[in-house]
Amino acid sequence: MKLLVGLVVFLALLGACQPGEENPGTNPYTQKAKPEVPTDFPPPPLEQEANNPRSQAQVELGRELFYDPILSRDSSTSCGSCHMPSKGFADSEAISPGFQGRKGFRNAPTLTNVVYRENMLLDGGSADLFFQAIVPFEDSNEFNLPIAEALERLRQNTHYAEEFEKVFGQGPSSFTLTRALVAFEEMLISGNAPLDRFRRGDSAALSASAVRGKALFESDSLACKQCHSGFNFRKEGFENNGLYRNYEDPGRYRITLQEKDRGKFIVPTLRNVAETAPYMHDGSLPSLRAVIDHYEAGGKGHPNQSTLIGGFSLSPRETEDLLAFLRSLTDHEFLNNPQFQNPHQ
Amino acid sequence: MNKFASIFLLLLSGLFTLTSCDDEDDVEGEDPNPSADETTGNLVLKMEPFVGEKALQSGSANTLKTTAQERRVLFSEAKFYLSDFSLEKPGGGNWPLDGGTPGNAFDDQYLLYQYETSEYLLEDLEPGSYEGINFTIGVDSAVNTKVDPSSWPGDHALSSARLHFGYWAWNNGYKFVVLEGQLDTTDTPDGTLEGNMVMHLGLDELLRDANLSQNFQIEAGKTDTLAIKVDVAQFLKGLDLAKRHETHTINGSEAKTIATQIADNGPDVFSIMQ
Repeated sequence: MKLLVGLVVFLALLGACQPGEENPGTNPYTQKAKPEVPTDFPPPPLEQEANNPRSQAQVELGRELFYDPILSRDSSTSCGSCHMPSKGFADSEAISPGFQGRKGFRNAPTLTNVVYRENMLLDGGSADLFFQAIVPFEDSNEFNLPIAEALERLRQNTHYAEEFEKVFGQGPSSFTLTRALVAFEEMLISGNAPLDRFRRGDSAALSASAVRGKALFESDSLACKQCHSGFNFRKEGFENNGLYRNYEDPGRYRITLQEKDRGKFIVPTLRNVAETAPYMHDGSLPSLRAVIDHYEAGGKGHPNQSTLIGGFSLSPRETEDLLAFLRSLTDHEFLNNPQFQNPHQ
Repeated sequence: MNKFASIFLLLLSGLFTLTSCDDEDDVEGEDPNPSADETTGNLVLKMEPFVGEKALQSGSANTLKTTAQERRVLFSEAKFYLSDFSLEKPGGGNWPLDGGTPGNAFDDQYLLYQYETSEYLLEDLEPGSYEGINFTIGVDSAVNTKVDPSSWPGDHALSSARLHFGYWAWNNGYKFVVLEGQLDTTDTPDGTLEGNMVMHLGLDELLRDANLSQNFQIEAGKTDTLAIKVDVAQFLKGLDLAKRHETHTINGSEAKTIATQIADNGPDVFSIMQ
């Protein structure tokens, strides 16, 4: 019997360790990277493409690039400058500065669970993550560096030139650059907040106040869940939430040129929302309390304002309960995940 | 990314495979099967930039007359995309340049024109007599907003890796026409270049077709030339540049009006040089 077991073990070892052959399970260049998806989440819609291996090393390369200001004209700004893990992959500034401190006109959105989104940018102007990856290069307020020049920088950088070759079997190109960046962004899945643990049966995961807040959030009178529902606390689509009577930023109208879309912006996820202040498309509301106040007042009455926003009245305790619930959507494991942090620090 | 682009990439990888196999099979000194060069021809589009009747001056101001008054404009950028090329056959038939050779799909369909470069090569064309050339000003709607610009080969006209790549940063789609520079915006032109011109034109609805009639031949194994005058001033025809010198196409109704006028002028920009 011992002989048989020994033979089996020997054969297993022989099969696992062929001379000169690395176990693909430990080789980051061959090992497939898969987002860690909670069992109660749908599988992320990952586009299958030729020449996009989605290896562990590709994700790591994407992470390096995501946090490297080499991609901006004055080497001042990276993706991570405006999408910080500690801020729920958003920014604490109302409008983030980019190239030479220039500012655009919108608040940086969170990248939490961005792989599930059907449209990118606050007005949906970008179709998917691959299209979106081009945006900061072309925007004079962000990287302001033509991709052609960014690629040349990467080719001149020995480390990046070698890593692109190892990961993709080819050097930096527009295709490989965007695939590396997106591979990292696809990993940014958050699904282990106290509320998730509560839903999975851990009744102690939420405070009594948060439980009361959850009931308020899900009530018909507040109607929060009409837009912020499902595993990602958002629905696909665009809404005018009545922030202004007259919108300086036309929102979705800028893309569709249809008056019905004026002042509409993409419905954001509420995951990690307590960390992503300030709020709204222009970062004009500094706190969650200010956001609740806005909805409680019923909006400013723009013609396109969602009919769901009709105002309500909360007692101070109810407001605190609602805030406690929103804070229960913070996934500290996600925000502090070492695999998502800046590798250059 | 959509299926169209995925199919394209698969096609491309297939092409690479085919190419590498051919290379291995080639034997120096032997005459393989008739090459594309012997069965097809090439056509150089020699596209000379003009402002009115004068060659476009780069680095110095050009004088153009878009309304009753002459006005000075210094162009820093004058570029546009052309797509959907086709050659007119005698009797009215059209031969679209949509991949006359397997794997060559798209290559001859798109052109990124910059005034600094005047010659553009259309390859692998069917030899014969032709009566004209047709194309669309802009990037055809099947591709414009639907194909990821990073999926094209790096030297392709539509690739985001091109230095003069012109794509909206904030919206899907290419900037069909980009005219930038300094100009005289005084009501009574005094020659100063105190204003900025930024004309960015996009959107599928602003695609316009140009049809140039001219008899020419494509000969097997040869490269012929078709000289085309590109009068950049024609894009601006009818615009009062003192007041209308900026558009991003959809940043307001005025912008849309300007962009539409530029698009409508587009077909008049091109003419055959005799």
